[in-house]
Amino acid sequence: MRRVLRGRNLHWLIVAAFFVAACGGSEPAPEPVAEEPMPTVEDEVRERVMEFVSAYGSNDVEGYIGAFAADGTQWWPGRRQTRDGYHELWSGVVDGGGGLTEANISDLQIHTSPAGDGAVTSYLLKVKRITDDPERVDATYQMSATWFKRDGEWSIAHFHYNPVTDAN
Amino acid sequence: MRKIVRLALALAVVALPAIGVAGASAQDGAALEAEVADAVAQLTETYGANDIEGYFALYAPDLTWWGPSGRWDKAKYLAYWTEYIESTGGLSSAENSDMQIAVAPGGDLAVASYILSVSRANPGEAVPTVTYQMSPTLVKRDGSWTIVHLHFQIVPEPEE
Repeated sequence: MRRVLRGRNLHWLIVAAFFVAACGGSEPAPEPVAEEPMPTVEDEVRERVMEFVSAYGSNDVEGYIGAFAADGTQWWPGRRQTRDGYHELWSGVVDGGGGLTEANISDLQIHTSPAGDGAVTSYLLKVKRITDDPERVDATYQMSATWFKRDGEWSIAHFHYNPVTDAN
Repeated sequence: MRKIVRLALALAVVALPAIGVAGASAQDGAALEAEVADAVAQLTETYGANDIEGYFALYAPDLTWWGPSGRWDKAKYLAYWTEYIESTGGLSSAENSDMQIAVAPGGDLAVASYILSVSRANPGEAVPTVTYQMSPTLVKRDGSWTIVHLHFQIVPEPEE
């Protein structure tokens, strides 16, 4: 082996090494890859709220109702509601040709827990309903949803809404 | 037979700590719910007693709020309620019922929902009693529960 690296062979090896190094050195330095910032808990919750509202506005009953925890509580105007009760009611509306053509969120405010597995969101929700009654097409609601992250999934532990009316 | 007994004993030794942890978690959950219930009871007690300082001490500085007049913050609520008590005498009673509490897995965020019934001290021409649907969300900061969001509404008249 020593004999092989002597003389001409060694000379060519040095030339080749120099050539490879020179070629490598002449390439522009790779741009530093900008690392995506890790999503915060607030980012996660905001995204989940947007999915939730999108499912509502597109009459995706299972996607929408699936956001509610099975053991969650709900305050509707004047009474309590359950996930199953809401599922039955909303399925009936959508299956009957009703539902929404739009659902738009504004004024979203979020508080998160120090442990990162709880959050409360509040926002204004403006919807357009599918209805023959022109006076019932537009509605605006004050919304509050408290979310828990269980087994890696955010779901609504408590939900409270009321319509915004002249009386408010 | 001995092997089976040994295996069963080994499994029991492995499983016992897990059972213990589950039991402890349930106890922690009950204790946390009791803490939240105490905080909400204190909220209603100070509210009904027109104790402005004690009442507002339970709200976080960054409070968000949905009420009958839309979005308010702590400062606006404090100004309103102080003026209301000074001009009317505030409330003569406040009571909670139908309390339900849920605590997040991490144990530092909770939501309570309940009915709050109040009587005005000097109703004048206003209705003497009002009933609200309440939903405060609380966060535990520096060892104390504080309300970061409140959604409430007057219970509407039942639709005919």
